[in-house]
Amino acid sequence: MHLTLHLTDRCNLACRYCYARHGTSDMALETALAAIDECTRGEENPGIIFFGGEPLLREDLIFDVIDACERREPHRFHYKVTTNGTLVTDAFLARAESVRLHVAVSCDGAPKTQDAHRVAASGEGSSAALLPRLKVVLAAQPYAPVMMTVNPNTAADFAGNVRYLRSLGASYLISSVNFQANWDESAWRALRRSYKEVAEWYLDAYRREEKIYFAAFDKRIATRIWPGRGASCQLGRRQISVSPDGTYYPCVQFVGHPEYAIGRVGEGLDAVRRGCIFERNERAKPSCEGCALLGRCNNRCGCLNFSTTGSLDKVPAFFCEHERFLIPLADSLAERLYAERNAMFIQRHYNPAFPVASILEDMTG
Amino acid sequence: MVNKVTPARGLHVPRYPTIHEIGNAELSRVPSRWANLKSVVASIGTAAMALKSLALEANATAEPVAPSAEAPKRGAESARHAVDNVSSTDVCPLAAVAIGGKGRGGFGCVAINPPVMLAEAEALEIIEKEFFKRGIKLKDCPELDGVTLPSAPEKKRPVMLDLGTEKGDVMVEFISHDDVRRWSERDDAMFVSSFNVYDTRAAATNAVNAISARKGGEPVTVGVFYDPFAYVPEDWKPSDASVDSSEWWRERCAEGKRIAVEKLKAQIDSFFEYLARRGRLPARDDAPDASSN
Repeated sequence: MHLTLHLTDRCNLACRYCYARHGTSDMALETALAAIDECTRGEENPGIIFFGGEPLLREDLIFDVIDACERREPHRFHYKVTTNGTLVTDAFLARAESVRLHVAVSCDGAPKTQDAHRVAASGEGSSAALLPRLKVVLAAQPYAPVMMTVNPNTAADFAGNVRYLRSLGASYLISSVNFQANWDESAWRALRRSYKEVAEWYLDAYRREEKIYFAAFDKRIATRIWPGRGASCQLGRRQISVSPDGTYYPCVQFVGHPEYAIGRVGEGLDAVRRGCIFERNERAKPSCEGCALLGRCNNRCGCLNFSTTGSLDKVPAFFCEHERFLIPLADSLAERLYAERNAMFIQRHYNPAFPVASILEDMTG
Repeated sequence: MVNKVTPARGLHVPRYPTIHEIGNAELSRVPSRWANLKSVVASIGTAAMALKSLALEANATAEPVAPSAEAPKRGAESARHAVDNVSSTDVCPLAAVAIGGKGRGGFGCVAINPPVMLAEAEALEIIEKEFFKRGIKLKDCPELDGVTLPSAPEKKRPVMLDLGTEKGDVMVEFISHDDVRRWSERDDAMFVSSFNVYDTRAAATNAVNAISARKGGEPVTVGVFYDPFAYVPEDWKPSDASVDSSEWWRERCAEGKRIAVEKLKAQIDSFFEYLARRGRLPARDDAPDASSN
């Protein structure tokens, strides 16, 4: 279970595709701690995710929350911060290391792509501020997730951006397509071409026994290998978002939409509303009836459906087309690697002990 | 660009195994870059197999269910054994535990969902038809010796299953809610006063376990299917006296039945896929009019 604390709705960037509603509110320490108490009761090893706006605008609050949690229950929680990376300092990273705070950085790729959308309010691109800091983050935390957003006008450069980020040291890449954007046939063709190019890169990386994680392929392969996993986001159950004012929401993209609120700090989680939203999201989508990819496609991602179609129940058409292309592509990669009995592929995808073995390898140099 | 959701059709089953299907020997393969990890490589394969079992156990109970409905521990334990048995036995257990509904339901004084159960006869008719479509005729009540029923471990007599081929090389057991007690260890099934909870999937897993432990006898392939207990979710809404609730109730029952039949057919599909992948499809009987069904 993950609790996402939206520490502030302020941000030092004004990314052109950002879904968040920016404002001037910050979360109080008491609100954060009360939310943790209320929502993680009975959970064995919950995750606390610091989110924003830009959470590093409240770096002090991040460490105050961690310190308070560790004082009360050492090592019960795991912590992660999702940042645009531009405010990361050496001091922050050192402190993050000391409290096991994992850093995830949003970066779309090389300067041209990064500056196309991830800009300051003035319109100035953020690559100059971010990329040197990203290298430092990856040196300190080699498995730090780098989260890329792919847009129609950057789709053609997507494969190049994957290789670029890999060259900076990234090994854990999470790419998200901006499904809210207007994808015409030419942009979609460019994205398909890029995926195929990335697929070749992925195969080569496995054949070189590199430890990479590329979510777009790996998550889809996992839905085949681990049936029943990942087909549902368990909206409002597996993760809860807390807005700066202490309102609970079922996921990050619902923050600021009071019709989807599922409780409030001090009043607790509203079990009925939470249950209704969960059930509604879990319901079979009539438009998907009979689809061979049911159970593998992420058509029940409430966040995605809501943000693109305005409804939990309505699956975006472009997302459907995207999945019908990407799942078979991911399968073809897995089929090739399995046919070769690629040991890295087998260990990474089938061995639940892989992370432990990987850490042991890193420790022994 | 299409501008509407279009269900995918006709995709082939991916040619790489699920976690249930991969062999332990393959899990022991390690990348050459781990060669310097001599002290741990030896244990990685073992750890992988052990953790795979644990992960499967977790997975068996991970499917979203009603808030208080957790699978009984013994059922999950059994699922682990069932999967472990796959490669070393003539029994095919996957259809029973892989897909096709949660198999849990309640019936009684406080049940709020329509009791959409598949009657034994109704389910067997569906199974017979689905097998017949694939050129395989089934007959009633084959007996299988060497199997100990969990509910009656002291009895040593052949167990009667539901359907089987003439040659007796393929048999079928369908776990209806009436069978839960038979395939559960004593006191394992939950029958409390006027409210009963059924877990047909856990019972199916028990059946697979019991059949897998069979000693001696002719080789046989057994497909174990179970009543999926279709769940028809509903938004909470205030009661409305002007609405005919009996009509609404009938509609929900009909929808539940439709879903249950669909899920049972999915179980049968997965059983045949499983057999096909292992080259163990039974020989087709002469069924000239199979296509008419």
